[in-house]
Amino acid sequence: MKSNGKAKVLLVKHWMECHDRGVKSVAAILRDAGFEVVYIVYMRPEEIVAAAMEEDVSVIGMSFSTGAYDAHVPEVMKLLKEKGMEDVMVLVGGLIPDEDIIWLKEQGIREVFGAGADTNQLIELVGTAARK
Amino acid sequence: MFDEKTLERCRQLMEQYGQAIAERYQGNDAAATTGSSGIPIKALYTPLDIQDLDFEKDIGVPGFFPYMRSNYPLHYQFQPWINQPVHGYGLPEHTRDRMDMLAGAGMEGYFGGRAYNIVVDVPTHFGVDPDEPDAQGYIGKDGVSCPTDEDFGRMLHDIDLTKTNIVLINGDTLPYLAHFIAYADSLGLTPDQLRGNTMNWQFGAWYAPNHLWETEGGLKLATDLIWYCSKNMPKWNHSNIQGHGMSETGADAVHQMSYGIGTAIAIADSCVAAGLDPDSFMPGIGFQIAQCNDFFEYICMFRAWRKLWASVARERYGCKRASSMQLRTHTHTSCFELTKQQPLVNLIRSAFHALGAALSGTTAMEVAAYDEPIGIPTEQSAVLALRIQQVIREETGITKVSDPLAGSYYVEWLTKRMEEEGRKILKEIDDAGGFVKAHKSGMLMGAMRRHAADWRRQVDTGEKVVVGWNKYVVSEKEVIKPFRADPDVARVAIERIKEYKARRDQAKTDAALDALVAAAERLEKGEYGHVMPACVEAAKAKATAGEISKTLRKVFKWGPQYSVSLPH
Repeated sequence: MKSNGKAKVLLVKHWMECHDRGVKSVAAILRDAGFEVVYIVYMRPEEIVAAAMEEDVSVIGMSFSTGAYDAHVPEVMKLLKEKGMEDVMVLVGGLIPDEDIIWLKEQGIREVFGAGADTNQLIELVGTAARK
Repeated sequence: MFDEKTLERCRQLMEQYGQAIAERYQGNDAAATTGSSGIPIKALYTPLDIQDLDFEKDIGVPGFFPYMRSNYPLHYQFQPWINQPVHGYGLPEHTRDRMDMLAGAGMEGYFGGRAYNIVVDVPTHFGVDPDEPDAQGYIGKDGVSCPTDEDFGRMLHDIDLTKTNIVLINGDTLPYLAHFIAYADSLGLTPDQLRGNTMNWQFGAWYAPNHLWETEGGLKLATDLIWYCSKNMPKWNHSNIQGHGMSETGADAVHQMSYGIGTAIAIADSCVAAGLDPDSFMPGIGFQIAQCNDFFEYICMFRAWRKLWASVARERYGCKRASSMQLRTHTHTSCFELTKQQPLVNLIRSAFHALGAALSGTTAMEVAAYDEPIGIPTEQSAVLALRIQQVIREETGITKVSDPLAGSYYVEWLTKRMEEEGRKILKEIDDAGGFVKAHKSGMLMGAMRRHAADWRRQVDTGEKVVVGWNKYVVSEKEVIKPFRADPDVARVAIERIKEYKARRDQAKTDAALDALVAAAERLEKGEYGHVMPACVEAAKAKATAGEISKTLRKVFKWGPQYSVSLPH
């Protein structure tokens, strides 16, 4: 599936996280769909927001395989608000139990793409975040 | 293997067979397919396909070179594989609860002894203490928080370490082993009495964002650990090559085997250069092997792996001890092929993976729990995974005969093909200037990533069927309750490490860490045998895992080795 390709996406994973096959697959899928993709390994959540600003992205995709979203997601959402970057769409992927999806959405996460998610839905949603 | 008369008759029959196919299926080539490593597979194999094999050299009998059929003359008949589930979460005492629960459910080592396969949380993996900012969000979640010798005490108290096999799964191996030795020392035990296994993964966890040590420095640290073990810990298996990690990253069967052996060659070369006798360290190298969906291919990979390893040990390193040539294996059943959708189906998948590993003659096994795509196992899913092993071992009868698939035209042909493909890739690595250069150039990771991307594309297009994900999909979700460690774990772990640091003799700790810097500088210059003893002294002087790791990082380069940018 191809998209209009205007959105620029920042994909992030913490340096201590093991298992990055999923996020690398997402990077390849979005790239093949025509999006510009930047992938970084971060140490502290503030690096995500700094990279998002510097790279001028419209989407951030955070990948977790070890459950640190409870600590990192609220921090990233708070920093985005402080920097006036609330319009950036934030997605989460990885190993996410269904019962945590509601909480993540309450934090401002637009959608969760966990194991076995539909790539066409991902491409469509990212496409709606294209820069004007 | 066959006389000319048999082969001639076989040719005639195959001609008739070919005609029958042409007539009945109108020349349809539906029978031609490929295995998951891309090897073309036919619908039928006969003596013609293995006519060039030599029984003694290519197949042989169990317990004799090339050890393809089994390491031992009698294997499961005498001692079945160790069932060795990976476990670890929360605080050390929580992990102890799981250890006791699994032992009660029949998890056991060789000859009824105890074996514990303990995995730490990511901060302990990477030398980050619970009181550091980087650890927040990660403490005790996917493994046990165990940054000190005292944490070993909380986990292993009243366990007889001289009779128990302790497997320590972590990334930054030296500090972790040092704390284990320091804990044993507090009980009056010496390192030579300890039995178990470290990982010694110095090429980075393959499936991780490639941090850990810069390659050459990491190899020096790995070699120093092996040096220490080969002189002080005769019952300790120092290295466990991460085939499963490569498989999870994307390696197919052929690449998992070849890159696994390639990793071992890099480590062995480094040990030989350091002056160690191959027969002193080769028996301590083991392999963690992934058993995946393509049933026969992974069985044949396993057989070829044993044969190739024996050949590498004897021909490349001149090993004479049988244990140097015998492939020590720990099966870890496939995880990337498990699904979050209809998760109970994973029990069926893992049972086939485990059956394949048992038919391959593995020596130890971890079966993934069905809730692997959601989190770490619950008590129920961990016991069910153990039951898979127990049913295979106790009920199916497959343990009666060694290497029971041997002699199948298909299995022998495919095993030979896997061996040939493996030799080809090992030569490519040699031609690229050796494993270290090939690794640093991105050649190995690139091959794994490409295969992972292909796999995902095939799933997305439906070319590869995954039951419950892209076929036989159901609308209602099975809700699986995820395992969660006690939410208070982080607070307690942080308090404990602060209190640990506050009550130690700081001057003694500082002096031990200074001595470690000096030892690391000597190792940097190629002088082996000082760093691991200095780590043990630092652990005895109450330096934490984080402090020992960070001290080593003053001398050896550490950190993410690269970030990947994918421009438009």
